[in-house]
Amino acid sequence: MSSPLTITNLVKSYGDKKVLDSISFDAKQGEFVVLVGPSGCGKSTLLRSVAGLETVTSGSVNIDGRDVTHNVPKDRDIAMVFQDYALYPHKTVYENIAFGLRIRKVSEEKIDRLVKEAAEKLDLMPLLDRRPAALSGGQRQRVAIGRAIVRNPKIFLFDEPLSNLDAKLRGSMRVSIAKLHRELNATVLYVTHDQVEAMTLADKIIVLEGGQIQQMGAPLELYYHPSNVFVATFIGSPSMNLLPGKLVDAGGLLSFKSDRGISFPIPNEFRTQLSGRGGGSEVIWGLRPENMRVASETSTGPIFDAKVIVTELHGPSSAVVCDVGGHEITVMLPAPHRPKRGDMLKLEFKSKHLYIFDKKTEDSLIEV
Amino acid sequence: MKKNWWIHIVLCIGCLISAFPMLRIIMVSLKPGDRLFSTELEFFPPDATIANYIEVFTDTGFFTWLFNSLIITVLTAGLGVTLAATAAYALSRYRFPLRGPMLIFLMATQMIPVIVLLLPLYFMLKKLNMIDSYAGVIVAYSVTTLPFCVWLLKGYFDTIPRSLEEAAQVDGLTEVGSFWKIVLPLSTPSLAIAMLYSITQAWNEYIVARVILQSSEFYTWPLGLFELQGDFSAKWGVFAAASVAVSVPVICVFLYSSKWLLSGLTLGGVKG
Repeated sequence: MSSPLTITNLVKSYGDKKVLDSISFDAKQGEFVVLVGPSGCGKSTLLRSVAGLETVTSGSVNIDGRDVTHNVPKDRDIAMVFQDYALYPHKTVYENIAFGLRIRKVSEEKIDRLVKEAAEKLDLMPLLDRRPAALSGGQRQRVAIGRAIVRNPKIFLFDEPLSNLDAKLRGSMRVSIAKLHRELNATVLYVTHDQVEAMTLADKIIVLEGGQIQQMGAPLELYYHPSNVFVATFIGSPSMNLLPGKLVDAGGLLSFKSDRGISFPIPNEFRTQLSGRGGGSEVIWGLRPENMRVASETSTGPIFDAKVIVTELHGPSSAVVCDVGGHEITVMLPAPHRPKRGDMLKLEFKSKHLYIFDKKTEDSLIEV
Repeated sequence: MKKNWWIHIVLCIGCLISAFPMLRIIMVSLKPGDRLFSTELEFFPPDATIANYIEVFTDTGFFTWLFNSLIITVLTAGLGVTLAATAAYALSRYRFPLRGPMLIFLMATQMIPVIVLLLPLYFMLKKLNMIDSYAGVIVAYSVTTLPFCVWLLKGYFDTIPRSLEEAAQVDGLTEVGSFWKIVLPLSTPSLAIAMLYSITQAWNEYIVARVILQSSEFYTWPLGLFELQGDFSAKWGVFAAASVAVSVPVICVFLYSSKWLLSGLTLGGVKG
């Protein structure tokens, strides 16, 4: 059986500038694929290319085994939820949801049944006679989702659907979308710049930067095994701490020395993977804030002396920004720790949480 | 409210000044022929008569003029607004070479008085064998109203979010379908204004009609009314009655079209 969506070597250029560069991936039936990346990375262009709203320079888009690269949107069997809702303002909620069915000449009886089923699922029944102007942001977005699900298309495309909602509503809509996805077993391609949304919703995350896929895989795979500095810093909140420095070979023992003089030994388990990179190799050392903690008396790992610069309360934990030998390092500390500005801390980490990247290519040098 | 009383006074005076010529012409149309030049200011003369109206409807070509004007106006407005809407959509949605200069050129044509265009227009229509025909006047009127309507509609189309058409195309419409079913229904206020502009231009125009229409069977009402003036005398009562009668259709159109002049039609469709 063919994949619901297969993208092969997709290229989109504006003049000499490539906004999508040889993008290839596929989505399995029922898979929730999230395209994530910073503004301007090409994620919306990729989604719009799949929708047929952008022409592509080369490559192909296959939906359910059919090459639809040059088809207009209506001949692709897709539905799309837009960032700005894009509801028809002159039509009622009912008519907005029914619009696609009417165009496809579905019988009135069936339209009525399908619209009401969709409205039930999305809690829109009391709003069916209203116009979009009389709805709140969250209600409008639910109507937009209703318009998409009522047609039961092969692929659902979501273009940053929650970015216009406030934080609380975003959280509840995220849950609704996850539930809906499970209920419909729909294949979804979802664009967001919010990595929390990506981590919570996705079966597969595709990280884009500069029009290229940086890495794709399951959310935890990207979190634990980032393939380069970009993915490492983009996935995870707060971002991974990075220290540029060099490998130092001291009589066969390899250690890391940062540009500002912090040093610690490289654990044995990494040495084989770093073979060929001896003393003097320029690298970037990475450690996630949540993988550091306040050292205890029994600590055996490397310990840093840190001076607190800022403490951000996040509820059950605090993000503490510290000065470690001239480097700014963020550490997440659980509730009992609420250090104040100027406090001195001793921080430790386990060597298994260490990441090392090549400074030039920024690719990961180790498999964790 | 109290602070603005003087604005109300100014507006009331403005209304009176605007309405006075109309009231005056209604008054003249109701007066018997021997009292036309009396200076009494009563609105409804005691000896009011509809004799002038009867004369207009029975002794002149009034209904021919009215019919010609209606045909020309309806077709001018229809053709003009159709051409303007499609041109405006293309100028609003697509980027193509010479788009900017084209818009400026359209604007520039509005600066040229019709009288300057008369001679070239006459020669062009003569070559096309369109002198003394409905088609000649309709083409001439359509092209003269087109630039304003294109600018008006382009400005309105620019405010309609592109994503609405994209949503409609994903829902199953073609590009033309989304223009027809989404953009045009949302643009009714501006389409109504473009239509009213074309209607008033075509309905009241005299100079171009005078040059192009030569047989009395094609006369529009402004030409017909002019015919009522003899070389040595003018029947002002009949003239006034005809003027009032030809105003009725336009007034009806304006009253009817007010329901289309709604604001906020596009509100709520997208994140504001």
